[in-house]
Amino acid sequence: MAEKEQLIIESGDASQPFAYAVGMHGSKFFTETRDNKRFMGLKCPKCGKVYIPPRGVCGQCFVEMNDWVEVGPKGVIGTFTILRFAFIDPETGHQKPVPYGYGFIKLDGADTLLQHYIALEDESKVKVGARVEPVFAKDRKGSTRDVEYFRVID
Amino acid sequence: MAKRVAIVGTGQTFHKSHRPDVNGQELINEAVQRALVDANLKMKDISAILIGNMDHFEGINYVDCWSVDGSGGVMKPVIKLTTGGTTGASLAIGGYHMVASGMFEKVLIIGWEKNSESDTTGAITTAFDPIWDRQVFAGAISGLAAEAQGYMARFGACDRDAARVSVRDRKHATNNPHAQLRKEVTLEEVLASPMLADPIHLLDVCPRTDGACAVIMANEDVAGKICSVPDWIWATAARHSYTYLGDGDWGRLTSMEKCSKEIWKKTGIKEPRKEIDVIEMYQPYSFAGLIWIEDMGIVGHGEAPQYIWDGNTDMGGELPVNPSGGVIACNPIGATGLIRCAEAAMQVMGKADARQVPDVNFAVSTGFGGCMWTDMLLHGKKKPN
Amino acid sequence: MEESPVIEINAAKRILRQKGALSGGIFTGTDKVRSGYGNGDCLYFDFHHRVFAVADGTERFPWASRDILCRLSDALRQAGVPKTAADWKALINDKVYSGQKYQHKTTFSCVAVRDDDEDIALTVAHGGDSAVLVMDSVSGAILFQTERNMVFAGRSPEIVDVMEHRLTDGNARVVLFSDGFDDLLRFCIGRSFLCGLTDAFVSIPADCVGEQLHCVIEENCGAFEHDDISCLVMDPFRLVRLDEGRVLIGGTQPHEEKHYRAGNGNGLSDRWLPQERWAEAADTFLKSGITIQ
Repeated sequence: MAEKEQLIIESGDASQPFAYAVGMHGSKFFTETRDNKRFMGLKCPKCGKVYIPPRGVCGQCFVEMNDWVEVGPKGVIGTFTILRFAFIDPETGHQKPVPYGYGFIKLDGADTLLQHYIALEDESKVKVGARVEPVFAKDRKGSTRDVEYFRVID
Repeated sequence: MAKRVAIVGTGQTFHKSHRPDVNGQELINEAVQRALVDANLKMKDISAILIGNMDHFEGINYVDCWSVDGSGGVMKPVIKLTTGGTTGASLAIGGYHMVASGMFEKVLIIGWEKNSESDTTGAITTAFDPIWDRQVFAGAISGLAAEAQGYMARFGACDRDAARVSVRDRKHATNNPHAQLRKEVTLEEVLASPMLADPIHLLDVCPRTDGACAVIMANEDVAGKICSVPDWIWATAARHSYTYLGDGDWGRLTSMEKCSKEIWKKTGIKEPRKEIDVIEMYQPYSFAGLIWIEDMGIVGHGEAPQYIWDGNTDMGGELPVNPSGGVIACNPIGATGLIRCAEAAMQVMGKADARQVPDVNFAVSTGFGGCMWTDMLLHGKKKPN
Repeated sequence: MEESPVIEINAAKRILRQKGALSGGIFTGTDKVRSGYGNGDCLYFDFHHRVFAVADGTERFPWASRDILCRLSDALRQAGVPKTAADWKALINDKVYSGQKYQHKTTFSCVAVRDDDEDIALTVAHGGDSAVLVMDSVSGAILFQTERNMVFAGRSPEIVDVMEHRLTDGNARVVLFSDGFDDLLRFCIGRSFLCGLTDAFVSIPADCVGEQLHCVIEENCGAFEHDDISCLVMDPFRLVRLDEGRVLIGGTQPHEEKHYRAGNGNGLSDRWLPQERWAEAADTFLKSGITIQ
């Protein structure tokens, strides 16, 4: 028998289940997207910044936010990349299909960026500042997947 | 009771893509032994130990517990500290705080990682929000690519400018026996290497590394007795910015800007470009070598490409950056920030051998990680006032 | 095809050649030698199906390259050579890429050579940062070149690039190489041994390239750092067809590299063995990381 290598112990294909609470602000956002196909942000009463994703506190001012405002659904690409290497998607355990467009979308009326897929029908049109719109899923369940992706509109 | 603090010894492993010949504890021990030899100290001289790495990267946590035989922590105070990519630099700042407080005379600081033992992208993903970040997230590269796109759109730089940074760091690394990758590349090779995530090519980014680094800090009562040229810590700064990746000001590293302003102000540095002699920057990809020296205030916004092309940051230039080869040549993540600190210390102490920059009075080291966070230290040859 | 089909292997140099038509070999990276790692580059020579391939496995799992080329070999033995590019793609996706473990990342670049009347039809399947190059051996012009991409086997479930390329000119040479070749090239250009990539293949006959590379690497040992290098050059118009003779070189584990290095001190295996003597030399070959199938 051949000489042994320095031994490596492998983990095997184990998985560990998780269950994440979205919280009341996130739940409101997802409910609105699911039922009314609209995006809701939270506005800081002090600095006026509109946050997407919504969260309870403006970190800059450290004050609570309760002022819901509708943003989007259209917007522009704030920044983006095109992913060209496959890696294991922690949500599915399978390799992510590549290439895919990874967009940071500045929805109209929002001050922060929403991360989502950008369709790559024409890569040359995927640019910082390009105008985009969401394509909603037919069957919406209340998650980020209720939007299938954003696409560039001319 | 507050004390001035100096680095009196450093030690590093010879960093490799994988080290199947040692386990984590043994890897740590290699760096610790080298630091003790460098400072001519024994383990009994050490008052406390500060250790850290990236949580979850090896699928084993609590390094403060299981590493004590290797770290030398048996029956000593041992504290773990971890802040994502900035871990190594945060360890240095934490060690500085411990010694500066006057509570501990000599502190041993250890950063380490065995990146070969898990899937880095998978591990990094666990550090980001499961609801809002994970669906599209693709590990460290995706955020960096977004930064690079933002910078190019705002300031007109191109991938060739960035490739020049990669060529520089990889050339510098040939002088550093501890670096994992010690091979020169050409501009054309960087640009012809596969596209990972536009605009980042494979040769624009750091590798995954197994390695450890240890640094010994001592207070002013003993530092001068331990070594003739200690590396004095003049100031430190740390800034965390936002919650979700979409909150960033893409194309600017605002945390770097705030850290450097704080440090220049604290120490009275007016013209960092003239007064700093060398920078060891936690620069995980080439574009950061452009963007972040602008945010640091070395040059103005949009001016970095020309500054780099003119050779100013090369060895022998006005302000050499990453004489060690930096992170692009070597990245044992939990150790990476501490390696920057150790390398800056070696520059001040005159121990950097083939990668020594002559006559270093001031050196800067930084850490980067998490959601575009920055840590920063100013090192000096003179004892601060 | 009039030439006598002499195919020889030099186990010490880890080079295979077919006189007048082809040579290919692997060379272990400088840091791999220092660190006691395996050689992650692997070459596949299949004179029966006339399929040739290079794979470059990750440093941590250097045998990943051999694994994938073994699967290619098995798939060809079972299914024969696919007829169309689409069939090639299906074969590689179903039989070759799909079985590769995620951690066992490797490049995969494969060329199938087929006669098509007077011409030669090449089918090139490619994923990762190794390369396939077709050039004119007289002018040095590059006729075809793969792009480096991130479609590594293991990481990507499917190969993307399967292309056909037709050769009408007998001067065409087909070259497969891993990214380590860049290091050698950069060094040679730096020392003015060469002006550019194609020089290497214009001036040297295809069956001598392997030995020439070996010579340059040996003579300049210590003068430059290089990754594992693999390179295979052929004149596709002069390949023989054999009933038997599939050869894999490389993709070695650390202990195999150790044996290889230890076994070549006396120079005994530094000789060219023709195919009829491969069986008796199987043991020597194995020690050099060469297997005959």
